[in-house]
Amino acid sequence: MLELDNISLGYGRKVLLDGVSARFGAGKCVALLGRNGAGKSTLMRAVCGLERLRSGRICIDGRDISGLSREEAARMVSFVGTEKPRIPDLRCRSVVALGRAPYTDWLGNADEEDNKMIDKALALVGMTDYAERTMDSLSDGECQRIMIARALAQDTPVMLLDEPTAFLDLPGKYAVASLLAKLAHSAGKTIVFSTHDLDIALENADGIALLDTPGLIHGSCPDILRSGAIGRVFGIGRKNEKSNLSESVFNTLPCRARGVCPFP
Amino acid sequence: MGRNRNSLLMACGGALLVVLFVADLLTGSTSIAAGDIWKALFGKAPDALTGSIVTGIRLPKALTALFSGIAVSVSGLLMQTMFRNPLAGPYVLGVSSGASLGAAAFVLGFGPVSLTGGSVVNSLGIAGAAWLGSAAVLVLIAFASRKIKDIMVILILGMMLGSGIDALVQIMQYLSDETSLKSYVIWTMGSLGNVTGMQTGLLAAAVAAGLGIAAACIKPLNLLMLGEQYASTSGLDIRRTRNLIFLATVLLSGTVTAFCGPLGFLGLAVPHLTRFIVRDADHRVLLPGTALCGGSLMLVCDMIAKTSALPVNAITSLMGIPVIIYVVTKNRRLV
Repeated sequence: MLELDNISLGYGRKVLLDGVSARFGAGKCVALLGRNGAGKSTLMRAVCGLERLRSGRICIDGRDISGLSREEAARMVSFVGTEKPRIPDLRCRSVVALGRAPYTDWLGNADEEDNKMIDKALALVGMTDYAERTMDSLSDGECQRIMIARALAQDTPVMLLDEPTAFLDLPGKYAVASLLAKLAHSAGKTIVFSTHDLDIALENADGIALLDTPGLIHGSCPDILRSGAIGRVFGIGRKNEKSNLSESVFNTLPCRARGVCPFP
Repeated sequence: MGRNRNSLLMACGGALLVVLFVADLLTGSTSIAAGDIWKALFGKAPDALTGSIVTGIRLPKALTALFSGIAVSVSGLLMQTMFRNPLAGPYVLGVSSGASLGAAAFVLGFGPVSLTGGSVVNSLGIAGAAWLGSAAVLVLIAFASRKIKDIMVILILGMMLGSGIDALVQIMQYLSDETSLKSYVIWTMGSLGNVTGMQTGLLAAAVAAGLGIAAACIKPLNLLMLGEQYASTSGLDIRRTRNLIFLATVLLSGTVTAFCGPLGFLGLAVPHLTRFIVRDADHRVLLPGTALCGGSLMLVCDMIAKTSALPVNAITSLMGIPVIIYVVTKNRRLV
């Protein structure tokens, strides 16, 4: 379980979050939405313990993340970034094995239990057959799956993903998002992923966390949809001189985000 | 399969290194029989001259070649992985510039004073000054990296610092007299020959310590391959790792540069050659592989330099460039 307890975040004079509290339970897959620059990545960094909070605290399974060493934090929260490390001659299995780093010896040698976790992680993302392939031979989607497997091998109660659906084709986006939901449900993890793919988020996630600077609106997908907050945050439906494109932008939005369900 | 292949490669590399070391001992201007060299190594030389050539010249020189080859190659690998940049070498952080400044300040500034003190004092003085210069540069970089998060900024900072120092050295060269200028230029050409018994010991100790630190960084290096964000969320203390790598760089390339002059090219080339041979990005294989490869190549260069009486730095570059071009074009992928 991931708890944000009255946190404030920002840099310089910019305030990103102010006095935000939220609670994301185990076994839930949550989509983190918000405009570019709203602080999605900063919030994720903060949950990883890499960003100093202005106030408040972030707890994972009741433990304050700021009081943990890097290695202890790495046993509580795993992270999948936007970068695709396409390293020649680096085998997929070795990458997944790096997820065991907080548990292995000084050389990073995997013992029997580590190997079991690595095999299991590869199987969960459906990449068992790719174990001996090298990272530079993978497609974007395959690479993303290996990085997710690496985070799974890290065996943490909370997993964060920064835009895991970016740069994937449509089937790829759906496959990754539904995989994340499946992993959250089967492994009982709290999975939070940021995304700009609204319809994919709404279709696959259990809940939405919407950055409405400096607040955070969170709830189940139907609740958030009904509240009209998505339209408000993304500047849709509000006509002013600054956004006279709003009507056409609204029409390009996915059906679910407009509140029109194509599958009644 | 992969593990067996790697063990086999390591065994072959180790054997090659031993063969080349023996061959290097056998190479020299006077021909000495293999049996006599063997005897001389255990203090039972057939005559005093052979004994002094073997233990006083051949052995320190071969050991210096071995240690310096290992050291610059391993520090090149550390830099390439830390900066995730295939063009990084042992000197990207300005280590050689710092060393040059130290050496130049000693030779050009105190040259006339030290020349009266004899050649041992002179060469030790150059080495000490150069080592201090390179250490000072890395202390500066390490200090800056406490404040700077982005590793690329540190890379740029190191290169700028290096260029600035090089400019200072040029001014010093311009203002100096002919004799001291020549002894400085000879230092920059690199030489394994000026290293005597005691200095070999110093070099060995520094390289051993540097290699120990590098070995302790194997797991951090593997994590750093994925980038600092992945590394730190996998439990790595980035600051501590950076400082360890800086320290290893001073001990490895700083010390070698101080004693033998800048041997930079080998450090850039050997990690690529090793990747080409072992076909594995894992530093548990890559690091020992790079050490074996670097040691072997330097011994070969030393043999060529000895038989042709040319500066070793020129040999390493002339030998290394075709190898690198071949590896890069054959592979078309780097780091």
